Amino acid sequence: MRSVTTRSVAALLGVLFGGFGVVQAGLGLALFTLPEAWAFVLPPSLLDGYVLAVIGALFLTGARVFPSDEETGVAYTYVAAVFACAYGLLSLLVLLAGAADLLIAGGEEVPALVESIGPALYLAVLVLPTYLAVGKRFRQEV
Amino acid sequence: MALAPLTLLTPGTPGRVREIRAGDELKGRLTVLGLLPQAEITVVSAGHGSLIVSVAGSRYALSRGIAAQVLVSEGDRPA
Amino acid sequence: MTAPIRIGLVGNPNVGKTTLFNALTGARQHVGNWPGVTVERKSGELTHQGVAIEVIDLPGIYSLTAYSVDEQVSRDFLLDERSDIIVQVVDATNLERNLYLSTQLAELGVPLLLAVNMADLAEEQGDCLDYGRFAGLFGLPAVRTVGSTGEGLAELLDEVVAVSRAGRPPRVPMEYPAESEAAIAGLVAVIERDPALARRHPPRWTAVRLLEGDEHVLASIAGSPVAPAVKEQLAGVDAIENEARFADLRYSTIADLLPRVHTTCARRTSPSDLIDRVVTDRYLGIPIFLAFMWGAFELTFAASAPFGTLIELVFGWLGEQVRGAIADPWLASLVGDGAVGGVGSVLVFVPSIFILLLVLSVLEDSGYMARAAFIMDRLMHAIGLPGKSFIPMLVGFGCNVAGIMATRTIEDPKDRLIAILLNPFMSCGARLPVFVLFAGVFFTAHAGTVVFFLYVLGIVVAIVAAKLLRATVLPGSSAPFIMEMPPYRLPSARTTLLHMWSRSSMYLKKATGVILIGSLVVWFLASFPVGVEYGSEASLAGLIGHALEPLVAPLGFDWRVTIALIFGFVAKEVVIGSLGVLYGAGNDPGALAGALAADGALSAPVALSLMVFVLLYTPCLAALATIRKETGSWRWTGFSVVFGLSIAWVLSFVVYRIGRIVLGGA
Repeated sequence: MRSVTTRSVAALLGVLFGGFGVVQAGLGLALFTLPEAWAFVLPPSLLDGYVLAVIGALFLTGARVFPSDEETGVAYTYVAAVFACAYGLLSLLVLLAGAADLLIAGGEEVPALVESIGPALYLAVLVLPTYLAVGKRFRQEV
Repeated sequence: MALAPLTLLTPGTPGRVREIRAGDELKGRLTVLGLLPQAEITVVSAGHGSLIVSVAGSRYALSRGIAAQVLVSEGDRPA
Repeated sequence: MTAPIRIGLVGNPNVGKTTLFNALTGARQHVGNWPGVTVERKSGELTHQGVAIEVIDLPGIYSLTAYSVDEQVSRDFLLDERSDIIVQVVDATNLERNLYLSTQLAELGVPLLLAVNMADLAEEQGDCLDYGRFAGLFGLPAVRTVGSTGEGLAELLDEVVAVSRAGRPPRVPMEYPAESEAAIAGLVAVIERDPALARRHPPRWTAVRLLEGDEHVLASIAGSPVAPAVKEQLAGVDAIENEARFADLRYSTIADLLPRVHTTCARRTSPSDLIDRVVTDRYLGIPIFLAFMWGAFELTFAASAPFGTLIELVFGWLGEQVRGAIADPWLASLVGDGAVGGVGSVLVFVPSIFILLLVLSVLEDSGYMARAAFIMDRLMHAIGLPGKSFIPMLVGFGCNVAGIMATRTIEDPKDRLIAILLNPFMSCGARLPVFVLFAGVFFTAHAGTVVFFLYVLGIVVAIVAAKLLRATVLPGSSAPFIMEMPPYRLPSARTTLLHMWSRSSMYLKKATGVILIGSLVVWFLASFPVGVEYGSEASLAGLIGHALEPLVAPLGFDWRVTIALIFGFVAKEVVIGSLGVLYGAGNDPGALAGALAADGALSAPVALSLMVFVLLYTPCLAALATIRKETGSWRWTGFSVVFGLSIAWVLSFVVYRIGRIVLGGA
């Protein structure tokens, strides 16, 4: 991945994660509310939002240092991508564990479970190709 | 050949240890790890209260207090 | 039959020594204690080519000068106990510093063999070591190993057998400066006059250590007839100067010889360093760390839920079966409610402890935890704690017992003591169910917030206590912070699982041992005198509770709560179980919640004060036993009890009174 591409991708992902993160956290703190339908896309969660915001900050930092220090820029982008995928995986595990619990204990909280699928999961899927591409570059650089 | 404490060494640039102005025990511990005069040293990351340095092939986190007692010269030309 | 070959397995910390040890000895390990100290002694056995071999795993050391208890143990073993051969595990990516120890070990006169471990990582980086020429040049043999995959182990064992049979000590070509050689010669002559002394260690080695001012060696000479002569030789010798000079000599010898057999790929910035730049970022470092912690706790609670539910169901069913199968109602109750119910209520939490410790182990083995300690160091320092006490505190959130044991890596005894004493304030996994129950009943919607603030309170109290202890009983600024940052690596599944297992097995032992007994005692006190209603006021439990009531009345507690707290002393998990017994709710959490809500004596302020008390009062029995073991002192253990109780009482009181005013209620 060439530097310009990496930089733009990092900036874009930074804005995405940062944006979603801040909004989710804000919802979690009940600073503002969204119409019901949004709950499926952006479930309120202070801590999930926080993590996404941190990842966003890392992407943005990577984008920022690119012109002056390429290898650090790649590093930030790579680490951010790793964290994003890892957190996505973690969210998936949490979801599956919740489903398993439901299965064992019995109960009708399926809608709540589905609702909890948030940006942590789908944004992670988005980051996957980036992770693979930047990962290759990261390993080449060093 | 200017001497400066380790805390002032720019991260990323190699330096060479010249002197360690510390008590015996501390000096001993640093020596064992490879932090002794003539050793090549680089600062990896500098935080608020501590820094990470690379010396003798390993990385160590040192408190600023200790780092301030290690005098280095910039550049990696041997003495 | 010949005696087994005895290997002393030694090496720097973080070189994969434990992985190698596990790979060599497999399941045949014995864990005990080194006499007189609280350090674990691990030994194992194996057979190779028909030869019996015993391996003793020694704590990691950087040199033969010991700064912590761990290091002293290794040193003492190497110097005093006879091993047939020393195998030093060396990090292939970091030969320079590792070989420093080798040069010291070589002078001991015992056959020495190097296991150049993590060779795969070195080769990936483009490093190349000529093992054959290395042996010739350095005067000691080296074998290529990869502990995580088992590569090189057979060759290593072949060499072990060969080298120990040959019995030839290594001969590293080190040229001491002329004047030092003269001093050495002089001392050697004196030492050789005492045959017993000369036999203990090679005289040359003793001479060099004496010139460096090694206090232990000096002390060990004291009884010898040549001691005065030795002192005479040492008069006017600048030990500090020598120590520096000899260290310099070792490193320059290594710098001289190593490049002839070892090539490294020209590396710009290593990936580890790059990652470090990100992870220790000035502003994002702490947020990243907090994100990790949040992720860890989230995963723990979510992933353990299905297991917990499963265990709850299984034990509920088991309890019923048992009760149905035993005719005698008395015995049925004992086994059904007391034993099965009690143990079940504890085992429910085992999955969460295991998972939390697993996550923490992964973070530690990957190398991240060292960075976290670095990032948090400034904060820790402001509190008066060394950065290294950070990880034990973190582990304490899972289980105080494991947290206290993790303090072994702290060198300074005072720092270590403080870390141990403060650990019980880290709200352990066992207290959480109590919080969840009471917060859920009395604070419903705000339950989560209440629990969060309880955790925070624990931390705040720990900080204040640290300042208090520093100012009064344990003064002294914490030891300078030097901590090795191992390169990042993907932790091997086996090592991490073993790591997690060693920590959580303590918890498991506690669960089946202490808690079982505790549950039985609860049951006993609730069932007697005979004929009394189970868990009522007339039972022994009730009587004791009433007797102690006056002591805790200012805190708003009644006799049931008092009894539950006393049982909680055994193990915090028992609090819920005993409350279940005392309220007649059995093991049904729903019924217990209902009973609590209905009890007029309980209200929101009381609940709050109770939770604060549970958070802070004495460590549980298992933790106390661990404190005793790790500090070796009854005094500090007792202090821990009194300290905890006093703080708990005072804060509970304050919380209760303020709670009454703010929240109203009984």
